[in-house]
Amino acid sequence: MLPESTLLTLADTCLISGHRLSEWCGHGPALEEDIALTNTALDAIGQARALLQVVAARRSPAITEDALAYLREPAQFANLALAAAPNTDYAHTVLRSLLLAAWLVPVWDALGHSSDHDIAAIAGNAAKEARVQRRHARQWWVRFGDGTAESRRRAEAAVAALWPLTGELSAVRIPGVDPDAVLSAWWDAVQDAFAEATMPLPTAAPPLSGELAAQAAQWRHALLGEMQSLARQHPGARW
Amino acid sequence: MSAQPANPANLANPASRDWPLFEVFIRSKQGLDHKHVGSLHASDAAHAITLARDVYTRRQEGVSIWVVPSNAITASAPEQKAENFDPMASKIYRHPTFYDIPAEVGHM
Repeated sequence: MLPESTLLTLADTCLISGHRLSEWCGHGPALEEDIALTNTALDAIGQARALLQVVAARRSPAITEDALAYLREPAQFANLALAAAPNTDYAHTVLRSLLLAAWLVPVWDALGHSSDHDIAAIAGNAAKEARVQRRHARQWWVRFGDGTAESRRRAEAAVAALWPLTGELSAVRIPGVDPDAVLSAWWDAVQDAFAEATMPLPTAAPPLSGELAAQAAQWRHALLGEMQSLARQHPGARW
Repeated sequence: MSAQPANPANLANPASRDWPLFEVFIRSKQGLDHKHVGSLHASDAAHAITLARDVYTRRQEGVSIWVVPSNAITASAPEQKAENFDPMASKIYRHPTFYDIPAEVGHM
């Protein structure tokens, strides 16, 4: 069985990125995009739910997925910093989505063969959803990079803001998953998208600085403040 | 795009202002034919396929998607509906309902 810390890294990354994407609901640049992005948000939240259900059931005594999502303290969350980065504009949102999905695809693919069968089943479906997310983000990334002067300016600003957060990816260790293979697949997908977008590919980011980690903790704190507010104000509320 | 009549909804939505319209056709699991299901705005055909997947196949409606630029479709004129189609109402002999089907053929 995979350790709980691994499951929480994945679950929290999906939950936080799903919530970030859901912030666009009703504000998408076009009705069609709004639906596409909300679907992606629901996919990510669905992946988080599935993993949190496993974590909750394996706790002794067992707790609920809701307790893990809505009542855990922000400091107990284990998400990648990238997942919590603010939406800012559509270029930032798309790049975050691309960088995350490009990492999640090889992670889910590898976990699909995990001897932890609960997780392998979740990974099989999640790998398909992550591919759709990666394709959607890649299409936009190419448009922004190779689009107008304004879209290019925003794409460059997104790289400046988000690329340093990718330094964390090389530090993630998942039992049974080859970290070099994941990073190499991530790099290939990102390189390919940047090349078609005519965007220069930055060099590999160094490990997350203390300053960036503190910034990411603040993003997460603010995000969870909103996400958990209903559950905390009305404990045990149902609909 | 040509100038649109002043329509607040169009002006407010960059998609309907700047993106061309595509007609979406979906083939269901059982079906052999792609059926028209609706339309959407997208920046190009590949984008339209991506969006159609999210807008029109959320509930497992299909296994294949076609998109066609709406302006590639030439339609019959609504005002010619009567002259085009009404005359057929009286030509029942065009339906193969006057043949006796041999029993061994079974259901057709």
